[in-house]
Amino acid sequence: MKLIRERKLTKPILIALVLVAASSVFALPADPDNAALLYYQVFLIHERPDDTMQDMIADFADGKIEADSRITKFIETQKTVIELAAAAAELPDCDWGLKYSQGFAMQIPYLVQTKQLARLILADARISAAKGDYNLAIDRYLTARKFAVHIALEPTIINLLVGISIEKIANKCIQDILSSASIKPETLQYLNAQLDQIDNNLLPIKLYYDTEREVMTMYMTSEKTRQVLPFLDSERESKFNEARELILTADEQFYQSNRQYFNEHMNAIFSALELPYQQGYVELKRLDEGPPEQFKENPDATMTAIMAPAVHKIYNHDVSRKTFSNVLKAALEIYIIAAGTGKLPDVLPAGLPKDLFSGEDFEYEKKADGFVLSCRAKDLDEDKIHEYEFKLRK
Amino acid sequence: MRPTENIEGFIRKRKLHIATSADADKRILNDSFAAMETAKAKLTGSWRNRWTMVWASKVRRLAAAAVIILLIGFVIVHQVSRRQTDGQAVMEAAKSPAEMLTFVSLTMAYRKGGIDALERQCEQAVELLGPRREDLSIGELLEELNSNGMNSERTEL
Repeated sequence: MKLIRERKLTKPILIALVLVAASSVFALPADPDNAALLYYQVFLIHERPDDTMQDMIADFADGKIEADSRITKFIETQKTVIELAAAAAELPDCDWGLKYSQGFAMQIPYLVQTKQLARLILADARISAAKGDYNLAIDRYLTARKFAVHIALEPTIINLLVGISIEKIANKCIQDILSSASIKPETLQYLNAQLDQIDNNLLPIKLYYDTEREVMTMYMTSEKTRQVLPFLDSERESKFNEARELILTADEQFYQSNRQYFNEHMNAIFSALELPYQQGYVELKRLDEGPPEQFKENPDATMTAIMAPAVHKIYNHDVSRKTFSNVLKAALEIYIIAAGTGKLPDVLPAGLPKDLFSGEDFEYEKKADGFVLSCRAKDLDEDKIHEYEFKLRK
Repeated sequence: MRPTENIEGFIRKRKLHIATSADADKRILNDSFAAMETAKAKLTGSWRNRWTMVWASKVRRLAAAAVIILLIGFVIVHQVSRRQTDGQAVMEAAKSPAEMLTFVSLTMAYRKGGIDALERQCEQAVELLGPRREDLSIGELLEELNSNGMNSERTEL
């Protein structure tokens, strides 16, 4: 009996001992799961080159000049920074910790170094491609694209615009790399899948306008409006002197009516965003131009006239960048076919991402040394049809 | 022919050869200095006479005072307006990166000049923030701390 009881006790005692031992093993804290924490570290250790070098890196990253030994050497010294940024870009979450409750006084300090960092990463992509290390070149390009998405995860229009600006130079970089390299089909497929994933992580443009609406509404009170007036630029100052007079002498009823007008204006903008590009752009432009013309007859439009952003311009940037991303994905499919068959397809394969200016497939033209994909409708803001040229390395 | 050219022509044609000596040079110099002193004395005298004439007349005295006051006024106004312009420039230059990087400041930069203006504002803020360290690893920090400890010198906090 005693033996049986002892055996019965042995097992729980052993389990308890194992648990005690396991709990005493020290574990390092986990790495951050917020990409912004790593980006902030990157900004702290990123060495700012002198002006000449900075210009050289910018021109090289943008594809305007060839690499020289000075650029290569500098990029080599920045590997720690680039690797840390690459690690940050792989994290799905990125919370920059903005204090939205501060409204217009909210600080967005990280934006100062974003373009420089992006160019550093893209310069490394171009150097890697020139060395024939296409896998690393593509990884660097993807880091820049993911970084752009992370910046625009904070739903302010400023973040969106900076993200778009980085995305644009990154896409130009991969367009050049694809045109100068002979890349394996599986690498191209990997890149295409990654681009789909990146595009899926973009926030809808409506969300940025929602934030703008919230912040603007915060300032549509007699006390808060006075804080914003000094920031209005000189051109607007002269144009809206009359509006200022109205605002400075207004009562609470004025602000209430103005808030209502602004909300209706924003609702009309949201409806216009649902339209196809050509109608949507025209309608947004009409809405943008309305309040500045109306407020003299209709004082309810005053605050909207002074504070509402030029939505049609921002919308155009968004359509333009999405079209560039689509054209890259369409081009990748063509490169994959060319890599498999040894020649370019005669017609554009079906089911490829579309030109968002027209809502149709891109126009495909075979050339002696590559191909051109063109939009089928005008970019109404720039008043031109975009064409994207890709070369095929034999 | 103009007088200068006349003299030049005369010298060129005649090929003047003037023999000089130390005594002659000294005499010429002494004469020149004496002539200069006489001319200077005459000039001072003439200015003194003019001022005496001005101060003798009450109307002229008032006119001269008015001119002086106007001149002083002009200088003061000019200096103040220059200081104000400089002050404005200083205020603009002193705009801190923190002010340049607020939501409203960046938004207004974009509204003024699009993405380019927004980027320019960021660039200017970077300029003001100054350079960053190239690397700051834990290894380096430890090395720095250890060296401070080993140095037995007072470590400034």
